[in-house]
Amino acid sequence: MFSPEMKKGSVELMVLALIEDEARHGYEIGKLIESRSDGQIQFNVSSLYPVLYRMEEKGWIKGRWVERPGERRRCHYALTAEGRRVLARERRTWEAFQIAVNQVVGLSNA
Amino acid sequence: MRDWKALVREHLDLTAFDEGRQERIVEELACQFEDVHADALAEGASPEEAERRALALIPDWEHLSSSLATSHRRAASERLLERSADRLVARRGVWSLLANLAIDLRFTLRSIRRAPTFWAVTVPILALGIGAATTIFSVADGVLLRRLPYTAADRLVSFLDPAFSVPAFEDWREHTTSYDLLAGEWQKRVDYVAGETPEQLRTGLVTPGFFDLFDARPAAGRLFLPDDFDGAPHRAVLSHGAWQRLFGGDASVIGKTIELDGETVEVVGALASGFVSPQGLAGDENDVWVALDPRWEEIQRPGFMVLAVYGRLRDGVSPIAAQKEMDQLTRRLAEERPEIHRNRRGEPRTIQVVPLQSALVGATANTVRLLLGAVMLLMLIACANVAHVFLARGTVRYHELAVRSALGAGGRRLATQLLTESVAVALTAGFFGALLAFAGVGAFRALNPGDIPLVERVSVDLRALAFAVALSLLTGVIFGLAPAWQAAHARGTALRDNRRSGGTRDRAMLHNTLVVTEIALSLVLLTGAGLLFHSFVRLRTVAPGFDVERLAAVELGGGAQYTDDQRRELVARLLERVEAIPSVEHAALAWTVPFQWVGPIRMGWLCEEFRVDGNEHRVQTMIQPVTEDYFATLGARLRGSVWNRAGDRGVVPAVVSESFARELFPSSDAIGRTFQGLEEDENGPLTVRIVGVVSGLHHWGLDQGSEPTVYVPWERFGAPMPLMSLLVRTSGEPAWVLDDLRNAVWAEAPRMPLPNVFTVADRLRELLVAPRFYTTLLSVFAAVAMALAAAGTYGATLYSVERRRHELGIRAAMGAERASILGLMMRRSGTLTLLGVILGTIGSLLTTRTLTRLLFEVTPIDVTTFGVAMVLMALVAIAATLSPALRASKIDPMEVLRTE
Repeated sequence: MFSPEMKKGSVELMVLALIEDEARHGYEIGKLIESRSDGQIQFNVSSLYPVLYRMEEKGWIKGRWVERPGERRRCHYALTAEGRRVLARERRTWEAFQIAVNQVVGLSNA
Repeated sequence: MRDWKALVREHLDLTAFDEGRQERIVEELACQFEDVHADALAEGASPEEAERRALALIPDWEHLSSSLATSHRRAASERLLERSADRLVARRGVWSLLANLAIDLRFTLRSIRRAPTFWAVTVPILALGIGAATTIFSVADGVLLRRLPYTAADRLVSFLDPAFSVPAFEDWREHTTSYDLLAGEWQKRVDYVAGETPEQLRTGLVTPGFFDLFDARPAAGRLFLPDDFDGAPHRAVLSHGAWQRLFGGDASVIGKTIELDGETVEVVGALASGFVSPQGLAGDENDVWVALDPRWEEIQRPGFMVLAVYGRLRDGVSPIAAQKEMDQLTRRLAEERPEIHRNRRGEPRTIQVVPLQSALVGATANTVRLLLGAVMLLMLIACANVAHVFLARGTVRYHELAVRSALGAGGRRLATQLLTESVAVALTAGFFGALLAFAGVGAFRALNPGDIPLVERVSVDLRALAFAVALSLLTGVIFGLAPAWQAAHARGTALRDNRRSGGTRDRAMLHNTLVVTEIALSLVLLTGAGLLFHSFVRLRTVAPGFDVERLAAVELGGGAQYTDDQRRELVARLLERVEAIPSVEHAALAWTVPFQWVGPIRMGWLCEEFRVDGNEHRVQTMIQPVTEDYFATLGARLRGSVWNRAGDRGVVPAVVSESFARELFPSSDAIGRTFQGLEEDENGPLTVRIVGVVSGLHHWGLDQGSEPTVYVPWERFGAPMPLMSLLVRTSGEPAWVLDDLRNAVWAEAPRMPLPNVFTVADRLRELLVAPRFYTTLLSVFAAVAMALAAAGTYGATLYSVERRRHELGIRAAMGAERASILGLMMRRSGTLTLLGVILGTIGSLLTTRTLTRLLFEVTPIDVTTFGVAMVLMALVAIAATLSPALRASKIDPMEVLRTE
């Protein structure tokens, strides 16, 4: 399991990446993070929901109520234009950070 | 099924949010509970189990409430900041710059937190340099730059030589057109007795217009009116200080009379406290001013040269134009009135018209400029030292810069960021430096050797603070340039190439250049300090020509009211009374005694023309009337004898100095020889017989040499003048008899002021104060400079060792001995040191001539001093490199190879 500090530093990037192609609701986002990380990373509502709230306040994502046939209505989050820019920037930062850390700890590039 | 919305509303504190937001949060969270519950049921869990799983979604409601509230607050402030920054950047121009500056400052604050040691090293070094520079600037500003506190100060001039005759002054007033006002001042000390203790007041006898020149205002009464100047001096204006001290600031003294030198004058006014005369600016303010009528018959003699002359140029007239007019005028007046306008040699007098500030400061300006130059050198060395540290830090930060470049930061942006950081370091140092300057100026004023005029104006004011800020900005840019250049060339691609650092060869060259510069500049300071030290040692070892210890002296004022015979009687009684004091071994009287007045100005009787066997000799000679016990009292080296009493009326017995004897009798013993000179009686020029020769007597100061002097009997030649100084040799500590001496004088002359009572040893110590002060100051600068240069050399060598670690490791692996690696590093340091010493020596040769005025019997290119300074600097620099060089020789080749 990864430390809370490592998770905290990457949650925004993960959320933005997960809704890049498709709008999703909060529960779905949390489950996707868990499944795609093979259970290594888990966020509960207490951790994830404030993040979604903050990202929406900053204008990176926008929540919209969607009602599908046979389902109750849910709040789906999608990227805004600003969110796409932030995602691109955060991806580059993550890459550069990875390389720098690898060099310090002595790991070669894959 | 449970009402999830009710559950959320019950447990979650949403008071921070508006109603609409509250509803949304409640509904979203309720959705999540429902989804978890539904998933659990779908997996086959029981309703109780499904509810338990759903409730486990939010184990800590308080934590969620607080997280949401915090996110709400942060989001609002971040939005505000981002919009502001966006707006600033979007507006471009200065707003964009301000936005970037704000970001850079935030970055700088972060760097302080991450590297406190870096700041702890650089800020004190710079603060020391900026503090010293601001202190000396304050001195230079107060003494040289700041305008004198008078209206139209730049048009005020003074005439040099220091004093002129009144007829000459009147001629200039009548014939010159360059001035709208010319005034004269005769400064003297007059006796004033009121109450128990007689004292002497510094008095300025001034011609009409003096107070107008210098913006005087009365605090009580009035200033001089035209009628006040008629006839003998009889009207006085008190200084504010004297008014307070002598009369308690009582306005009723206006209109009353006081006695000055036995003459009655009426006090017509007292000056306001803000007034300061030119003499006051030089630290010698008058206590009282007396109106002087230029037509007063007592002061019409051309040889009576007592007037200092000041003037205010007309608007549009330059000092050069005024000088030209004066040159033409003096040539013309020398033809028309030669008795007034020609000197003893028959040549027209040369008068220099000099701006008043220059006249007041005089030769001290060079000393102040010298100090300014020295402290600027120190500042440059400090900058070089800090640049070393910045460059070294640049290596560590290379990765950070490369990452930022990878993230899109341009080279110029990075360079600006680093320059902001270096300027922030410099400004922080500037703040502490300004605080140090307050202490520095206080110390300077307290320790002032007394030869710097206008020192009361020295203070850390807004101009000095502005200088500190400007210097800080400049130094921040200077030592920030190298790292900024480095940052501008940082590349993100360096990360992929796994390059540890870029441009190392360039950085090494920069380090080396800084080392050579530091050594060169330090050597210049060290050489200057060495010259001053050498000169000081020479001065201290000058033999004054007499026994300085156990000598006390008393200057007797108030002799003017005695007749010649009264003076002789007084002196005879006084000497008898003084010799009766138990600890007094010898006593004598002279016009002036050694070290009573020091410096190049001579007070007394000057003769130039002598005849020996019909041949004329011109030797500028002081004539000193002394009593017969003078040489025994002094403990001087006397060959021959002294006269007994006044000797033969026809032939004057005299003791002469060795320097005088050599001039008149270069090839024979002067004792027993005669010459004509001094003055004439009814039989023609006097004949003087030499009965004794005294050698090596330094009367006017240790640095004034032993000048041609003729000592004659006081009873015959000294009594007609009111100059009298008592000299006493004691068996014990001379300070203990000073009160006895005062009492002895007052027993014979109760109202006699005694303005100057001292021990000769104390006076000698005072003579050494100024040379000691400058030597110490420059030595401190030099010591600090050497320490900084040593630190810089050490750091640069260490950097070189780290940079070449791989190469040195390979050498060691290939069999190189430790000694040869040590030799390699030391040869590198030796080359840099040699280069620095050569450049420093050239710099010293070019600059040490500025010290000439301060040197005694040492030339500005004294070989010994230069040699010692060069060797010392080289040793310090080499010693500083020893430790890192030893470290290099101990590099483990296996460790280096393993790391690679």
